[in-house]
Amino acid sequence: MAYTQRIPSLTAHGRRAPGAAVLRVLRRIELECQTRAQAEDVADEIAALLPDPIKSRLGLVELLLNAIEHGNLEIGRELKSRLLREHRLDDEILARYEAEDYRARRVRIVVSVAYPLVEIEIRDEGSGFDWRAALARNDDSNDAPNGRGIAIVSRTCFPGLEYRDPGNVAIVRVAWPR
Amino acid sequence: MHEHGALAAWIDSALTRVLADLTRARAILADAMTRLFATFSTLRDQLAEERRLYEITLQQVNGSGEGGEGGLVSVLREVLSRFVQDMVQISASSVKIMLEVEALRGHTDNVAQRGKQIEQIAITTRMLSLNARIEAQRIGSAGAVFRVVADEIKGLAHQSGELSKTIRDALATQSQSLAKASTAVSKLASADLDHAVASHRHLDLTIAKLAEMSASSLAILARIQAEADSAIQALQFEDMLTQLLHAITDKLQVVQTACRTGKIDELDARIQRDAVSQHSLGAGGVELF
Amino acid sequence: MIQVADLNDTVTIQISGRFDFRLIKDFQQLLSKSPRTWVVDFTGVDYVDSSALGMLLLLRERVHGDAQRVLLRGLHGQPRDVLVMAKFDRMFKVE
Repeated sequence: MAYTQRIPSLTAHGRRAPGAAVLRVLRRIELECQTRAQAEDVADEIAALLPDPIKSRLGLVELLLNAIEHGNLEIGRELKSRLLREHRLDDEILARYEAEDYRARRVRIVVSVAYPLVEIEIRDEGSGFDWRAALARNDDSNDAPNGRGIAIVSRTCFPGLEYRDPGNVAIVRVAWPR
Repeated sequence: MHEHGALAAWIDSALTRVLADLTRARAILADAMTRLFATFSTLRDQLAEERRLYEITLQQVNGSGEGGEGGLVSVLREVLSRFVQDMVQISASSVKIMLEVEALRGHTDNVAQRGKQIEQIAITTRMLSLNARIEAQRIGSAGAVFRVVADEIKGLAHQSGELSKTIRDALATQSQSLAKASTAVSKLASADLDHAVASHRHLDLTIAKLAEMSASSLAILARIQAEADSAIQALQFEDMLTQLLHAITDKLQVVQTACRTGKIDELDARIQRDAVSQHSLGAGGVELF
Repeated sequence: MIQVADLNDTVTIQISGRFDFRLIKDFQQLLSKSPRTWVVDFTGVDYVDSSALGMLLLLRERVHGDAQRVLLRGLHGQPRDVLVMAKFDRMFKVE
């Protein structure tokens, strides 16, 4: 499984975008996913509701993959580093999907709309993590293969990104400009 | 005639003694008069001179006219006023400068703020390029170009971060200088004017006192002058005494002559004449100067 | 302390306590207004320093030197002494 995301076109998003009228009456959307492919579909759907769909989609996929890999499948940061270096990440992920403890786990997403505000809640079934440390990371010199995802998402797409303790719920707030 | 002869002889010698007394009295009186006159004249002249000088001094101090133009007091007031005007102008400029300095500080803070933002962006960029580099490595040779680009971006981000930091440090120094300038200017802007006000008030009090003193001094001078004047006037009248004594002396001399010569008729005419001139003396008074 | 009333094209500035350099920033902000007349109420002012004079001069500049457009009200005590000494009673209307 290639790690890179597929980059959707802007026109694809444009066709999907519901328009301001719908956004004004929309209140709540609930979604669910388990696999990476599904995560990308969820991201597509939600990004269509946001002002900057391409950037938002990138951030959403990152957060959803985190929820799947680190949350539901409980692959910690250091384990992931090791697996990446050994090129065994994809295999490990596939294996864990079959595991008894993890096969029933899902990532549940709730989108609450109160135009112009949109709030996205991403909940996994893991046991949480030190999200404050993850947000604060700004080391740009070490060559660790992973670990910067949350910091980058917070700095580029979703400023104000935060988690509810113990860290299994990510909360994103986006406002439509007037 | 002979029984009259002894009497006449006695009268003659008595008259001689009286005439001698009169002469002495006239001499004393003349001498006293001359001296008194000289004294009071001198006094009067001195007073006049003193008053003149006093008035000149007063004029120099007070100036002339309502506004006291040209006077020392007016000059002092003008200087004080000018000083205050200058202070006010400086203060107004200082207030403006203060506002400029504050604006500059605000601007500097803004720039510093931007600098911080730039540094944050630089960090994010570096993190992204790091990720990109790692992705590129994972892709393999296909990602080589991508990796190069990612490295370049990282390098540029690094430079921009450094530059931003340099600018921020420079701004920090500038900020310090501005803070100092601000303090210095605010001192200039907020001068206390109470001293000037007190000086002004003191000056006014001094002037009032001066005016008071000069008024009473002039009054005293005037009174002394008046007294000197009336003394001189009185001397004029005293001069009549001299005239009288002169007349008496004359008459007594006539009597003595009459006793010696027996020629009463001719001498009688002289006595009558004196009476007439004395009468005219009493009527008009004498102007000695 | 400054209190401002803006009514009928007249801005009334009421100052209490010391009218000194501490009021410069607030005063500057007031100068962005442009009413027909300004009234500066000195009833509650017990002290002015030279920056107060400076601020008044700035106000005067604001009305382009038209003394009719600035009224100084309630001058007494030290502020009055200072302003009279600086001949400000000739540059502004004084009540």
